[in-house]
Amino acid sequence: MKKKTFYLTTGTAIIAFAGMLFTASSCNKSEQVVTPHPPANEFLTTVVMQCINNNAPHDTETCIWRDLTPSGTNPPDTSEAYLNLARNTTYAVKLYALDETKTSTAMLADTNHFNINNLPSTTVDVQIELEQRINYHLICFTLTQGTGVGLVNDLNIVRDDYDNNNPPLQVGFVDTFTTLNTAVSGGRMEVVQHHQPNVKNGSCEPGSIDYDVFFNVNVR
Amino acid sequence: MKKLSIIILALTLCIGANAQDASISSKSADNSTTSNGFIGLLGGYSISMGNWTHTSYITGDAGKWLSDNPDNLSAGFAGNGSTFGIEGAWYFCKNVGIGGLVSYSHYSFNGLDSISAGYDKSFDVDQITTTVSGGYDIVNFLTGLYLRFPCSDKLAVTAKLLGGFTSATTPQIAVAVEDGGVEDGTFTQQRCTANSFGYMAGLGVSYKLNNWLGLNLQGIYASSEPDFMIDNTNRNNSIGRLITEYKQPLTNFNICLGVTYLIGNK
Repeated sequence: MKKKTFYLTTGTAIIAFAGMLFTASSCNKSEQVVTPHPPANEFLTTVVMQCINNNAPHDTETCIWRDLTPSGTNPPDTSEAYLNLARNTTYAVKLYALDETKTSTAMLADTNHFNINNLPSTTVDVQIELEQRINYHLICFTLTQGTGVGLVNDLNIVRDDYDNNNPPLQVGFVDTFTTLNTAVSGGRMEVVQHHQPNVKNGSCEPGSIDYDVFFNVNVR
Repeated sequence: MKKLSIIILALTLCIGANAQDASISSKSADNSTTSNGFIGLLGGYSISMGNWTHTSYITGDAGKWLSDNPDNLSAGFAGNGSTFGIEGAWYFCKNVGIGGLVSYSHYSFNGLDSISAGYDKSFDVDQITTTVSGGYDIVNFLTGLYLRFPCSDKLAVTAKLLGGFTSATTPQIAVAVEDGGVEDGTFTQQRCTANSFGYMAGLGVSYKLNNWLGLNLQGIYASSEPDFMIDNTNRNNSIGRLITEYKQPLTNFNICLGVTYLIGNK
């Protein structure tokens, strides 16, 4: 009887203390998981910049930068990456990003007929998703001094749209371009979309790059 | 009014238990003894229950975490855990006593994959590394009523109803963001401790090995509802899950084994 009591007591005590030790030992354990991004469904092949003259809305300038092989197999198509702006004019500017990987050559966006509300069914308007993610995207413009007085001195760019961060930060999908009343100028405009998850602070430095495209700009 | 109700309940149970005990004693011919109280250790498995066990990460357009979704706000990602404690009671009536319990419980984090995938979807980045440290910890300092209903000279059904002070701590969740080969920093939901009223109700069986030692098996239901005000550090936007306040019942059910030292046999 005494032996049975001893075994029962000891057994229960061991279970209770094992629980205690398990509890104590598991307190400071860290668990970690690495989640890679699932394969993307969409590519970003085409960047369209549409500039509408504030005083004459029929005066709409559109330029297109396209790279249908995001892997870099072929060089980008810059045949429509030209923007002609009038002097002393203010433009309402909108940037669009498209996926044209499944679009036939005949149906690709072109500068004469581009209408964001009338895209072929095979073209994906990636801009919709980008605008839902404005809190960690930023467009940065860099002007390169070119001909005449130089684009840097002749074109003023202001980002008009803000995100939902606190305080709100600029985005750059919607902009105002103002050309000055000076001599003819030309140059190159670099447009970079920065992806800044958790690091967006209003400056262009943090984060990675979604696209980095060039347009040749003339003010005349 | 509440105090009065408790006193009346205690006296009623006391009288009832005494009557039952007298009946048993009259049937029992041996000279069994009944202790005046006990002090003991208990430990076991703890099952978390309710909203704080949920692992919801519900997103809307473009992976945005829905900050007004009730499931998102109540999900606590608590897993199961273990508990241990020390308790004692003094039977001021034959089978009704008062006592107390100090216990510590630890719960794992559940749904780490889910939360990490959620952040990845929200931020649309190449890689998210989520690290959880600490889990949930709950410490109870409870006092209340202890009852026993003897079935034989060795076996008794026990019950307890306790209330008091509960302190709970949430886990730390660190999320490292990487995209395009660039480290985009690590933001952290810090550990947070909050105190509240807690209560516990238990039912079990105890077995008296001899005049000074007993064993027991208990099922214990416990709950508290602390209001956690959570700090989030290095958090630069509110796209992914962001919890700054968490107030949900931390409910759990414990299955415990205990060893008791019986005091003051009579």
